[in-house]
Amino acid sequence: MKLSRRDFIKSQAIAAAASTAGLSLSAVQLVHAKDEDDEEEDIRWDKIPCRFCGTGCSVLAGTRDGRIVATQGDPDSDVNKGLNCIKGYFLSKIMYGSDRLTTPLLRKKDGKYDKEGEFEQVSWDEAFDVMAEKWKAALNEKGPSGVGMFGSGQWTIFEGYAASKFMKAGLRSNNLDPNARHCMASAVGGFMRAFGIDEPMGSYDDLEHADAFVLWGSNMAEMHPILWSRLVDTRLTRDGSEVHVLSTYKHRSFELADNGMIFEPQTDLIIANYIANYIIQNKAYDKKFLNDHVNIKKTVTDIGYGLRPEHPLEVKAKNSGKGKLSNMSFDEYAKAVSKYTLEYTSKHSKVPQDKLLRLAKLYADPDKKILSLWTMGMNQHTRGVWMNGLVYNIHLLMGKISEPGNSPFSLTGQPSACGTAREVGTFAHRLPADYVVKKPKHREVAEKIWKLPKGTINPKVGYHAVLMQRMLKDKKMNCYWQQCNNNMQAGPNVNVEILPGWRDPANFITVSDPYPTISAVSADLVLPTSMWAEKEGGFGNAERRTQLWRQQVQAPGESRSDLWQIMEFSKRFTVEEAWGKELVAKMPEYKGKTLYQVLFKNGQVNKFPYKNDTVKDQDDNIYHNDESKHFGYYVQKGLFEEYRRFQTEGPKVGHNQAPFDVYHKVRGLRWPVVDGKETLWRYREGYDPFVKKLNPKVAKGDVYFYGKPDGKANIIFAPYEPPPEIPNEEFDLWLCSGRVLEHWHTGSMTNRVPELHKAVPDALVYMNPGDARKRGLRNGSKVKIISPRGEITTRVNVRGRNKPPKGLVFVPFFDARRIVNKLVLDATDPLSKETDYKKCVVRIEKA
Amino acid sequence: MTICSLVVLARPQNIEEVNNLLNAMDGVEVHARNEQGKMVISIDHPSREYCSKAMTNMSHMNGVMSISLVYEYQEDLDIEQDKLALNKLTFNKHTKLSMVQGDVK
Repeated sequence: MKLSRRDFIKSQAIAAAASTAGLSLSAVQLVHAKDEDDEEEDIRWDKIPCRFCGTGCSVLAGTRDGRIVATQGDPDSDVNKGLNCIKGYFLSKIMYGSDRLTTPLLRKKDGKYDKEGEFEQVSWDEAFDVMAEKWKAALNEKGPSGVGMFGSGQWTIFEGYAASKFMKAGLRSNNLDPNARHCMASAVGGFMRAFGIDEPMGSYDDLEHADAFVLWGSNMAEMHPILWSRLVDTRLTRDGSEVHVLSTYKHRSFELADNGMIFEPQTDLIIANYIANYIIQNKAYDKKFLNDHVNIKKTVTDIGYGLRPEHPLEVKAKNSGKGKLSNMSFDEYAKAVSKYTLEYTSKHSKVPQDKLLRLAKLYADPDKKILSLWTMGMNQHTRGVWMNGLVYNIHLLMGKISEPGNSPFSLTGQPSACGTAREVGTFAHRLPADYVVKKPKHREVAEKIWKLPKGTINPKVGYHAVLMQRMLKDKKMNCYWQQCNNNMQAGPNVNVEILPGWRDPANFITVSDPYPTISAVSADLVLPTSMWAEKEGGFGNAERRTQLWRQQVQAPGESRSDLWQIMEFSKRFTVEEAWGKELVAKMPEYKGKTLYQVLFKNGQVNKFPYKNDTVKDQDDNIYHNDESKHFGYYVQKGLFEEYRRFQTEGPKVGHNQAPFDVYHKVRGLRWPVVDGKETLWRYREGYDPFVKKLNPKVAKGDVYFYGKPDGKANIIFAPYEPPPEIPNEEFDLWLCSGRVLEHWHTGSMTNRVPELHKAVPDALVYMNPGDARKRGLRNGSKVKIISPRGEITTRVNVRGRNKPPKGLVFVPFFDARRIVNKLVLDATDPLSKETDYKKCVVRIEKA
Repeated sequence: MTICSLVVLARPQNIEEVNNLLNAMDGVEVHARNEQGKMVISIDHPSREYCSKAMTNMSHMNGVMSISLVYEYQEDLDIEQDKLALNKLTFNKHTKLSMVQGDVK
């Protein structure tokens, strides 16, 4: 049978979908799909994780003539089991936007760098010459705190590791932070305080094991569609399965909700404490579990809002920025939560009593396995660390944790928020594998692995994301390098706290990006960047799964990966310039060497040869690796293998990853990986090999929270405290920002896909019809949204997919022409330093 | 030429309705389904844009709980390298600092 090429492709597409869905096709359709001897497509297929959200779906990318022409959900992936979300449709197109940057661009006047000049094309040499001169001047004048780098949860593992090494070991500056600060820092804080090790104990397998699902501030239906499809599958096929959704406005996930709850912003703190109170009042808690595995603590209160120290709210706060824990007895804890009764909670949260009671009963039912899920609603919260803890409290009270289906689960928004930002330690206070710069022992091990003189690593915590902007504005930090994110659009309080520092003549700003984002145009030097499939990479998803990929295609023009840029820039500094003579004297063999030689050509990172300028896989497919070709050794492998030593040679246990080569063969593995085996549920004997190793007497199937010295997790009581701003007469609405299905984050990639841009070109303000009427507005009315910090103009949508209650509006942040973050207060969780993008005050007027 | 295949999860009580709505869409075919509401469909259309719109419309269709893409193939991806070279020169015209400072009306 002869088939047209089109029919052939179509049959393959249908067969793939049917096999993924477990549905059978008619015989004719099957024959078509198998008819391979027809026109053989010369497409090379290879696995690559998706570069959008934190789910970590594996995609098969089909490349022909140096272009990705087809993609398919990877049927061998445990994460997405052959499926992709709609963003997968656009994955291959994000690289081909018409305004892709292809050369470095520097602001110049009369042939020289000039802050007020226009962008001109320059060579990489000139770009790095000017940049190095500025960085050296800042280092000379201010020391290591004069420079800073802002990275990303979209960096590959290797890029994050190289950046960490360059900044922390090379320039001795801890002014390195990822944009994951804006999205996951509260989750990290919650994990460290309760369990002493970062990242979820469970895995996505919980989606098939749970009886019930509770979404605490997450619109999974639109933001994590693949996980949502797994959840929907369980809900529709498992007897008695139910879905509870909590949010401050109605969104797509409510359509499946058996119990949908709209609460007043910030009162999630009350609701979580109410559930704990209900469990205690009804003696539903697991007494043995509490005795054996839990300590009860309380946290210092009245801790402020992470604003500038002179802000009246910080001055007023008794314990600004403090997070000290102290012991509490069970009875004291019971008394502390007793205030949060059903009546009190319903009154303040505005959630009807029957709905709250249904949620509390669900958690208190010992026979119901519960998966609690959350994203930005809970993390972008001035009490985000507390709130993460309050949900752990509920699971710990019931002993519903670390077993299939019982799982408090923090989802991530970026593809490698876990794998890069968190695990590699690109935060201002961290080193790889949960080490921190503050602890001498941690620094000592890091210095040993990195072959550095003792005392190289700076013990002082660096500037976090929001503080970096304040320090640029205050001229205390003068050089700033942003890679793989768009902080001019994504950061809070843009016009007051970010832009002034960037355009200050005292400062030199570098932005690496594939596209002319709003950050790029606000910079002084723009570096064109190879993205995603244009380099060999690795990501770590929300369930601790590490996935690697090979370079599939070539980047356009003179684009270079962030990894190449960091390593190449490190050649511009001698150790004397970066460290000073005193430190170099401790290791005279480093005299006169460059940071590149000491950090990367150190006998470890350059250990693995790169032969014949290409890589071959098991099927003899050929791939390039631009970084390895340039530097002359297998860069990614060398970095990964050095990084792995932090997992086994240091003070922190349970972070083990498999050797580099393994990850090119498998669809990712969930760490800790011991003897080639991944770990699906941590802290429980039988699932996690470290439990028995660290506590040989453990009973079969029992838990041991080995992240804490006594093996016990913390219940941490924290009360309700109000947000920094509450609607008033002048600004009478809550503003919540976030994403829409069609665009990812600031839209720097999705806005370059014409279909997506046309589908949703403008960020609209989603509003309650009653609120609109009250202001004389209709669907489509042009309005000004005004906050104490600025204003934007847009149009009203009262019939959209997001349906806010009265008193709250929602505006997405993808639109560079109306930057909603101009309106947002730069208040953070005082502990995690993560901004609250979900509640500030605005008013709306007809424009 | 754009071809894609998808798995649609419909609420079981809405299967018929969803099936009819999908089949009525230009270029869309339902190839298989089961009682739990799972469906295998394809979209075959000359326009990339049409396909993406169709997917968005489906995901907002009454009774549809989730849609997932399995396979997509496209032939009109051509990126013109000469055009790229021009574009870097128009950098200042298209993205302006004033977009941060002010607002596009």
